[in-house]
Amino acid sequence: MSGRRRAGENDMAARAVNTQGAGDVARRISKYKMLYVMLLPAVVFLIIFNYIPMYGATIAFKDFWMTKGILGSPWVGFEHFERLFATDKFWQVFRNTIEINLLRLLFGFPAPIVLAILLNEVRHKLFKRSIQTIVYLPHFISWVTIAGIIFSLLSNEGLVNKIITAFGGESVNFLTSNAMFRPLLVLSGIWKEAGWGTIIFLAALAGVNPDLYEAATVDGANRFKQIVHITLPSLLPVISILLILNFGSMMNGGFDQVFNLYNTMVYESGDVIDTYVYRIGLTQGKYSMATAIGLFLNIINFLLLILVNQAAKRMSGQGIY
Amino acid sequence: MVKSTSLSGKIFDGFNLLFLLFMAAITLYPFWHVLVGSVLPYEESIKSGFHLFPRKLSFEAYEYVFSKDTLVRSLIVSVFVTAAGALYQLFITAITAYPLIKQDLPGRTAIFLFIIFTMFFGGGLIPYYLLIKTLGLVNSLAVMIVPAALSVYNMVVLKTFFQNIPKELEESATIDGAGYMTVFARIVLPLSVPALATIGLFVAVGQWNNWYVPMLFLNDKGLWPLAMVLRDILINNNMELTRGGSFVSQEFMLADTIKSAIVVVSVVPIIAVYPFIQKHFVKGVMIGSIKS
Repeated sequence: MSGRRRAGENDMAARAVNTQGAGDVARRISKYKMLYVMLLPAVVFLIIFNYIPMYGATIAFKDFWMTKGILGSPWVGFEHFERLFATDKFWQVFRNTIEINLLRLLFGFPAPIVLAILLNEVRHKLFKRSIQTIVYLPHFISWVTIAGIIFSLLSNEGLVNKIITAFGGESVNFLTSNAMFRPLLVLSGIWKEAGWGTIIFLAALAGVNPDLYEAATVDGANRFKQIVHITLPSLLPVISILLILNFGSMMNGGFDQVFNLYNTMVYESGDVIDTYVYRIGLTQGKYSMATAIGLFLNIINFLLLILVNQAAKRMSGQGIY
Repeated sequence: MVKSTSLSGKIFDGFNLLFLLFMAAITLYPFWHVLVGSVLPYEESIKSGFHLFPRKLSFEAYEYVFSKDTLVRSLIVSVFVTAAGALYQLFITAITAYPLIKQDLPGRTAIFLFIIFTMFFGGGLIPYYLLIKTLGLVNSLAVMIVPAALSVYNMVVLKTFFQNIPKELEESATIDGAGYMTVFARIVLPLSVPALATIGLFVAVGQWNNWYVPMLFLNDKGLWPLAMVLRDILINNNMELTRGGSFVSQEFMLADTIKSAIVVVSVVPIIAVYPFIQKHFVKGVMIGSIKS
């Protein structure tokens, strides 16, 4: 809707220009000159901190030397990309990123929906609000803190293993085993964000006509049937839009979470593109190579986003930008 | 949701209540674990097992944390970076959002696209790193504040809020001869306090939790905010920063308790401002997801 509205405004503006001529634009520019002054800082900051790095990404096509600078370094064409695509490690982190995100989608995506439906069934207002307050909280805690807490719970001397061994069990390597790492990412992600994720679904449910439930009760539908036939269908539009949007961030590995939880033992299952770029670039100093990966990633992200927006528009007549 | 008095309805409600209580417990327990861990006396902590409630309290770890210059300094840095960063970003975000609500501002669409494009495409980590290096912002606290001038997302949220302010209020002020700056400062801003406060608190939480920028650009440990010290201690398992003085053996004994105490110190301010954000953030999130 937003896109269409903006286009409509443009038409109006264009017509206004046609009838009143260039003198009107000049008059409006001078009338609004203070507003341009207000916009100036943001534009300057974006040029410096966002657009100049976009230009800096040209070092993906150069053999970058710190001493020669971005301009002075020689062009090498697609050399870095060719080397990158021939690297097994790159395809491994590429696959990891997609596989981890599919797991997040499979388990993490339904979690807030289920939670929102159950919260919606609570009639006691204070109870509902208290639970909401509690489950929103982890959203505001940083992954550093959460990782620290996870280590203290799941390390070999941690609480969980203490309990396991106290019952005569064998202690489990939760943090250094490739079999455990992906479940750890998915579950800790759900713990942190599922509560926060309910907000949008609860808002959608607030708009459902209560008469529907009343009629269903009169017809003898039990609570479970009401959820299946009334609550879920009302959520369907939001669910489909969010599902589509989710595919737009398929290449985003969740740097903060992975970087704070992983270690060399679980690179095989947990290393994602973002963490790989960080290590190649800033730990190993291969600037051009890391920039090439980053650029490749950003281009895929950008294309995904356009695709996803088209799909969302087709579904609901409403784009996301 | 009519009150159902049927037996199956009551059973459903009972299980639902229990399940949600269980969810709340799972959410809260890790925090409780850290809180208990931070006040557990050493003799208690070495006894293996589960401490739901400590039998004895010891504030040794907190005394230790607040007696270390490095930790106290990092706390001061965090407070400064959080307050300055939030005010600065809020200011730039607000003065950017306001002009963009004027529909007949020549070039409005072009400027809006220029701003919004940065949300969807970027140069990536390395070019940004090289830029910050070239600008001489490495090892300067300014790197935690200056580059984060504008959050495009928050700008869009704020713009939507500004758009809903009745035009008549602005127009009557304009007729009285007030310029746009005056209208913005005297009318638009005061009417937007709830939105500004919410966004400000969101930004503040982000700044308080920021360990990424200091990790990339602050090599000088004296400049580290608490979040970065926390990372060094929790993730890199580096107790060096808490060291010094004659505490070595005590420190060994307290290592886990100190870690817990630092986590508590870093989480408490967030929990303290949380009720204030909570009042508004649902609305903020909704505006953000609907977009302009």
